[in-house]
Amino acid sequence: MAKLTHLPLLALASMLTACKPAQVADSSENGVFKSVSQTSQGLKQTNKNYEMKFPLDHGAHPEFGIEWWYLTANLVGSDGKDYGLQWTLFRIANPEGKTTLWNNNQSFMAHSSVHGPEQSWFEQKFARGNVGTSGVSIQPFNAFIDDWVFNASSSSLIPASLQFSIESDLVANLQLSTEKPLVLHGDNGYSEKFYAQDGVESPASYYYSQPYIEVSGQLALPDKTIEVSGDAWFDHEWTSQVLPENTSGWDWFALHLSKNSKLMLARVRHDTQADHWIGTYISDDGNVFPLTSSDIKAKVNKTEEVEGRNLPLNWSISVERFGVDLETKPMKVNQWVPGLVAYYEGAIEFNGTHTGKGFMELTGY
Amino acid sequence: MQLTEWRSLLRLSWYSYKHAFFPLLFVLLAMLAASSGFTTVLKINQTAKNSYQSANQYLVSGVYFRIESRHSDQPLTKLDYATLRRDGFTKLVPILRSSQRISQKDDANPRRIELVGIDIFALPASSFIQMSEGNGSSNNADPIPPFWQSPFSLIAHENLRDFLSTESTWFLTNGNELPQIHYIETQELANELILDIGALQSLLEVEHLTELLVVGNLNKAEQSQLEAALPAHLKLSSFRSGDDAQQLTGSFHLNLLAMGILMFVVCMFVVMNALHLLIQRRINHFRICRQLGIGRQQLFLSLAIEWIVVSIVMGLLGALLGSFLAQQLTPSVNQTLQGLYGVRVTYSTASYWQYAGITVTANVLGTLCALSLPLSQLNATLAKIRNSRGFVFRQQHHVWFIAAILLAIGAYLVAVSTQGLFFGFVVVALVLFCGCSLLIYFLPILLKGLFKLVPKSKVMLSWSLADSVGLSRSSKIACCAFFIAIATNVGMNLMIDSFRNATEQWLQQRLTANYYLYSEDPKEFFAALSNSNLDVRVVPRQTLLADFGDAKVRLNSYPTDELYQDALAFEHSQESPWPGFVAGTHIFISQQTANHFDLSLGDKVIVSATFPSQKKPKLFERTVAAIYYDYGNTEKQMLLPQQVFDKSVESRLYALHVKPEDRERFDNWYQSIIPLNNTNVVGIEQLLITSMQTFDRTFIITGSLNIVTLAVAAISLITSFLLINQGSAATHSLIRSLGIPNLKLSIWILFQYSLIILLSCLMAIPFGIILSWLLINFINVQAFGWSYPMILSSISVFKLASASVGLLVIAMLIPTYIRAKKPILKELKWLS
Repeated sequence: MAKLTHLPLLALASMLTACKPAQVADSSENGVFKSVSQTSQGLKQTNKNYEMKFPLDHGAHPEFGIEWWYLTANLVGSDGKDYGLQWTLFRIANPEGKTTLWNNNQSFMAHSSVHGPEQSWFEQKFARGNVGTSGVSIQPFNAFIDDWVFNASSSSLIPASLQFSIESDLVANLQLSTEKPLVLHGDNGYSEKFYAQDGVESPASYYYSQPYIEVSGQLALPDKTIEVSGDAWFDHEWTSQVLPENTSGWDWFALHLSKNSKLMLARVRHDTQADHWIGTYISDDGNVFPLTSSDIKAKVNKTEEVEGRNLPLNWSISVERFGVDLETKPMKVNQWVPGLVAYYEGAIEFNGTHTGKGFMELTGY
Repeated sequence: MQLTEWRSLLRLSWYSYKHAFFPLLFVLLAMLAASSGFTTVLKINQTAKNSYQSANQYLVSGVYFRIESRHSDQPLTKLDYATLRRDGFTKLVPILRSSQRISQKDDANPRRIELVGIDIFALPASSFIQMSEGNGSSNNADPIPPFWQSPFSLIAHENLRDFLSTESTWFLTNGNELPQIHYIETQELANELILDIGALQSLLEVEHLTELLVVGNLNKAEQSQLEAALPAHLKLSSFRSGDDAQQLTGSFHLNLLAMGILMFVVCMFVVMNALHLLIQRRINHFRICRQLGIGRQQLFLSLAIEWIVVSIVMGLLGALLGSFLAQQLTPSVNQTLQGLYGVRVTYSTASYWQYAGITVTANVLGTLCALSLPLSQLNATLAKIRNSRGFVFRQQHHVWFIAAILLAIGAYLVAVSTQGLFFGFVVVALVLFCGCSLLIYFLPILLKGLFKLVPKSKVMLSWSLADSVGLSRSSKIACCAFFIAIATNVGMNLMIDSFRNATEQWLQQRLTANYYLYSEDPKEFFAALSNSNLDVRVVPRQTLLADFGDAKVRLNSYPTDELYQDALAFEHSQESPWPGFVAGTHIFISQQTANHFDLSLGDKVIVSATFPSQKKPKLFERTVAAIYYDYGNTEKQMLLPQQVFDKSVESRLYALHVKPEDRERFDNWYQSIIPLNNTNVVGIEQLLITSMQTFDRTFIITGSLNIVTLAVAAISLITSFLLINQGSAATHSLIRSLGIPNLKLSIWILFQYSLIILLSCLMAIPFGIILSWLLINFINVQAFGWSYPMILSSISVFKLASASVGLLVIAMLIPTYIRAKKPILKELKWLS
């Protein structure tokens, strides 16, 4: 099941749901990400029978409307404090435009955010394809925008390094490693997002993750450098399809249940129909189990106001089939990402049948 | 006082207006002129100041540095830009700029405009988001349309709408069609068309960039870090900072403000005179009010309230008119500032209320000042049991002479003991006030002298001259306004004439070639020229920034052959300056360089410059052999022989010497290669015309303000004479009762007015000449660092004086006519 927040064609328009519908239309018509709210004409569509190939599929798929490479990490610093880190590179296609030396109809947007107990750092960047300031290559794997670089040492995704700076306030320099395989969500990477209805198939994306990343490195602040280490989760997803009308947003969780066991859950909220849950459970022995609405029981325990929005920050989540029963709470309340597309993306911790950390994303609030 | 009494007083004022239409009109017009003129200069100056401070460059604020290529052979490219951004220099915005001729189909008059290509994705995220969401990048700005995405479009400031009519499509000289133009109001734009950088590259069929703007200021360490990261063919240079630009253009703005204040003050003279007249018309009402028990203080308070309200209303209207005028004048002011000082000035979107507050305050204060004298006269009048003579100013003549001497001494002391432009204007003001004092002192004496010269048998002439003495005393404030207007007109005109003459002569001497080529990349041009069979001598004018102590100076190449030796005009030079210059022992420096660094002939200078072909700076140790004129240039320049400069030194200007018999062939050939990008060849004749047109445009506002000041002075005199006419009614009725026809009397009264105007004008002329001398040799040196020979053209002064006097005499027909149509019965009333 896909990490719904990262679906700009599904997503960016909906991620703007804090705005009124008219504002969304205005914004997308005039805006850089013009294609996002438009139909997917001229773009390649997802296919159930598609078979992912690596390292090819680590790279960009410019024939699809939207794509992202997404890393979230739960880190502990040498100062004993917890840090939540996010780095994302979005690619958006606009196939209708005329190309020039500065525009191949591909745009990039990137977000970097770090949340410590007392401080938060965030920056966003924009670039166009064909300029040389952003892009993704696969031999070796390299995803970059300006000097923000996810750089693998080979065509394998990991091991890799991640470097970025947020204004002149923070420089992150991280080493990523793993021995574990990639996880394909949904049906071998074909991830359906909603109910199929009226003879129309559910919108879907191609979606895989690397949830087993071990991180070490430094966060350099103006007055000190903090050594950090922890667990990271990497997602790569691409599609050209839009979510159904009246979708109001989604809630997404990536939970490190243990060293080997991982859980991804997501709920698509709909104004007039029942919410739709999807997920993936990865067991200790590495087996991958797609989850459906019937597998997942979730309840909001507490909402809090963040940046003028009432957000469900504390949850009870259970997946009885795999003996999971958890209560989650955010590492800190305000982990709002105030970007062009604004949403909540923050580190959480949980206890119950499992104790651990993870990430939660809330959009459309 | 009771409310009903207040209401009665104010109603009385209101009803009196219909009996005093002209004075009321003069007051209103004067207030409108004062406040609109004041707002206009305030807004123009504030716009420029805001623009300098925002360090705005093409939609990007806070730009102090740029990266550009050292030489056109190796231009800045997209790869250079991307490499620098990937190296961590992320606050760079790529720009492609090109001055292009654009035309419409079958258009015989192509226009030249600057096209600017920008990548908005490179902007700081906050600016990018604002723009991508269709918002202006600043407050009070129109939304910016998505010009960067297909279908591409251009954006231009609303003020360019008239310049670029939108009815049909514009084409570049290469035949490519310009996209649709959107006009917006935003303070980020100046006189340019903005479009997407990729779209502009496609249109121009080029791949290079002009510059990378560096967003945000850099400290020394950051500068060094960036310079170290630049490849050898790129360099970091700074824009003029806001403070530099403000300092550089300070004289221009101060001049404008001084003219605005002068106009305001002269307008307040009119207000004062017209208020005198209005109050005089109401004198009987005031007497009745007094008899009804209303105190003088209440009367004065009601008058003050009345005029404060009127001044607020007129101030608001004036601010509205001034804002409109400023908006209309801004394009030419911006062009002037860009041409003169090389600073980019954007348009303003400042709100009306910003200026209305200041203007209304100034108008209210000015009106209260203007009201104080009429009120004190009214006080004196109401204190008298009977007022038979109206208002007569007290006569203490010797005080004015003493004041004139003191003001002259003050002006001299300020001139010799202070430096700076502000004190320059103080000297000018003191000189003008000195002139006014002398005028007040001498005008009645001169008229008395004339009276004594006239035989007593000439009864009407004798009476007219004798009466003029009193008339001159009563109208002294209006005469002073006229005196100031004439003196400033003569002074400014002589200065402008001298400057124009000096510039024209200097240009004619300096321009040796018959064509000049301006090009950032002339390779294609010279390749075409070499294939043309034309015999053209090309002289590049190379230029390099150099260090002179802690300051920067520009080193320019100068050919040393006889033709160019004759072309260089020196202010001062050693005997035979050229041999040393050619031999490399001597240097020529511009007049402003000499003034700025206090250098004179024979001084040693050491200049250090890094040639692009060399890694280490080269030292030039030279003796100053000559100081040359370099009008209009704000940079400090020095000249070195052509042979000192190697080919690596940049040149964007080339003198093309075409044989006279080949000019037609050259013109035809050039027409055939016009589509070449970034190439502009201008013939000497056109260059002279354009230069002088630019010159004239520069002074158009000053000229307009002079004319307005003169017109306002005329109104001041009219109101003053209308007022005096009322006081002279008894005399006039007596003369008419002696059998003198009304027409004849009117002609003699007009003669009186004309005589006072003529004498005031004659007295103003010497002060105008002094003013001109001060402007050229004092103010100009303080402001620009150069001066020029003053040309005292008696014909020009005569023309100006006679035109001013003529216009004023014609204007005086108004008070003469108003008096003449007054029935004798009305005048006889005064005898009762």
